[in-house]
Amino acid sequence: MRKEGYHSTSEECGEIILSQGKFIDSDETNWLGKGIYFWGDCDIFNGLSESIWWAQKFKRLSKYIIIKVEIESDKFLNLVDNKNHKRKFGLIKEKLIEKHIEAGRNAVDFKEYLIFKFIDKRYRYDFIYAITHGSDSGYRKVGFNFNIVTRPQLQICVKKHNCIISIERMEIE
Amino acid sequence: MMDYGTKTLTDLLDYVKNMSVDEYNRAYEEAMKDLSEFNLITVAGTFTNVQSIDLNYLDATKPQNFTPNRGSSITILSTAA
Repeated sequence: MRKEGYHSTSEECGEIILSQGKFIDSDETNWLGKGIYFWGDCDIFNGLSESIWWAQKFKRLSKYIIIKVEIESDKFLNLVDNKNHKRKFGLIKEKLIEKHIEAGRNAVDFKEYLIFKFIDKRYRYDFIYAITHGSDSGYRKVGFNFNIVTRPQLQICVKKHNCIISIERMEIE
Repeated sequence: MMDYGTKTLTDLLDYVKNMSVDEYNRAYEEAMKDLSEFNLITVAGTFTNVQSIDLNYLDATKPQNFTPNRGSSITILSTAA
């Protein structure tokens, strides 16, 4: 599977990434577990626009760089349009929530991160591909108060750098 | 032939089906620890009359910096001299 992704970062970090041809390891644990995050791109998702939005509106970076990458691997998890992957992922989540309740915990405290923690610990994925939505409090603060999803966000979490086959700086108008 | 994703998710589903409550609790606590460690931040400088910092608006200006967890906040209960 081959995908294109966009990554926005500060000018300083961006220059390092471009000069080394390698992304800096991230401590990010949100969304899809540990890895480097990219905005995906397809007919209904504009990865470049989302990466600009992220830098300008969310991170409020005064100087930033957008980097476009091509990612290719057969070791991926596709939670966007692979029915088998989505169904199995749903079953795993269902089963874990059952265990969570069985352990005397409240279902609302369950975190999807647990699933990605298992995935990162047990398997060797190169990337995970999924749609996320801005429903958390951080997003609400920057204008994501809506029910109709006009800007779904396609995320690619790269776990292994070697699946990135090209890195290119995007010129922003 | 099963692709890598389907194969590993099938394996993970079997694993979680057979997981004991104790094993679940250990895994959950470990995961929550990751998330709480991720929210930690070292604050350098002098702060006066600061009640809270919204981590959403911190810029990652250094390569070593982490991206703060969305929705995180840190409250400084006492101020540095």
